[in-house]
Amino acid sequence: MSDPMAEIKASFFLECEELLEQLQDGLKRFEEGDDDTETINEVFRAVHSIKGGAGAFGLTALVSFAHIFETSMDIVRSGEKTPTSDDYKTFLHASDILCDLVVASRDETEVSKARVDESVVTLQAFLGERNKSEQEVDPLDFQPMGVSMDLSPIGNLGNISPSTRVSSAPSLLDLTSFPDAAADDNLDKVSPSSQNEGRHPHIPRRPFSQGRCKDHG
Amino acid sequence: MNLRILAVDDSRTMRDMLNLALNHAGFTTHLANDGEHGLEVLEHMEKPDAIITDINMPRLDGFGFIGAVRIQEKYRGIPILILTTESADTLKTRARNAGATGWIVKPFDPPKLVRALQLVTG
Repeated sequence: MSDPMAEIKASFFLECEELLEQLQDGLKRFEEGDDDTETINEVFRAVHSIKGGAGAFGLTALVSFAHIFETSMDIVRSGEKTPTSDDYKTFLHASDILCDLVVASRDETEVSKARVDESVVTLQAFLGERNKSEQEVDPLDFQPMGVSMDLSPIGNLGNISPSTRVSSAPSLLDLTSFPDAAADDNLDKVSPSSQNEGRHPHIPRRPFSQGRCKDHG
Repeated sequence: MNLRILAVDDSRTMRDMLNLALNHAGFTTHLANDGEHGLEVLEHMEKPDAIITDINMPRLDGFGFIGAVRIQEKYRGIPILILTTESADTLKTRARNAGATGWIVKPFDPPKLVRALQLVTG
């Protein structure tokens, strides 16, 4: 019987190939003067989607790097900074690292820490002041957490304990987590974190193993 | 409780995971890959019990999608949950102002997502 989560994970890595291509193509077009806002939005979304999927499968190294890369792209798309030619080199190199981390995550190998850290340092330099505030936020702090829910907008929800309002959004329910629901063992089986993260031999390795991760460095 | 859920996310992986988790709970899911597609799917499906949407999507993002849903009288009472990796208060304020009901940060825990949907749908 097939493992649906294993299949989704395999599909995630295939999706990553498409996203990485979108990312690198977008960065090159942006560097060449394409000032269409949708171009940088595509780049941002590519990194953002890789981060989101990686988080779902607990791929922490990939999540961490994708987070700082994503933040850099957010600065560019928001217009906070206009990248220099050196910045584009930084981003292209970061896209290579991201690719390597995707491959490593898929193959359960590792990327040289020194190589990753080198790219992180250059991205942090680009982030500048924003990097200081980002460091106060754990990029992995988007795991399901304890309940934080404002009950007042929709009234009594039974035995859910009330908590403080979501600051600045008093009528928005923060539903990131709940107290444990009534036991349903079957539901836990679809949790990504509960799945064995074994190899997936049916994943075609061709694109990444044949030099898909370019060296822009 | 068999809920009918519309889930909107540009990530194929996320759509697959939502589909798996929600179907496993006995819910019926309709999927869309961005806000504009979400509006198309919504128009052609039986009224959902709840909607889940990402924020960062091409063509029409989550805020635009929610706003477009809320201006339609028949959909004003539907709970809309945002499912995203982001958690900034400024975004939550935008979400509230657009008409979102709740916010869940990715990665989601399937049983807790199911529980959240059961609660917001009463």
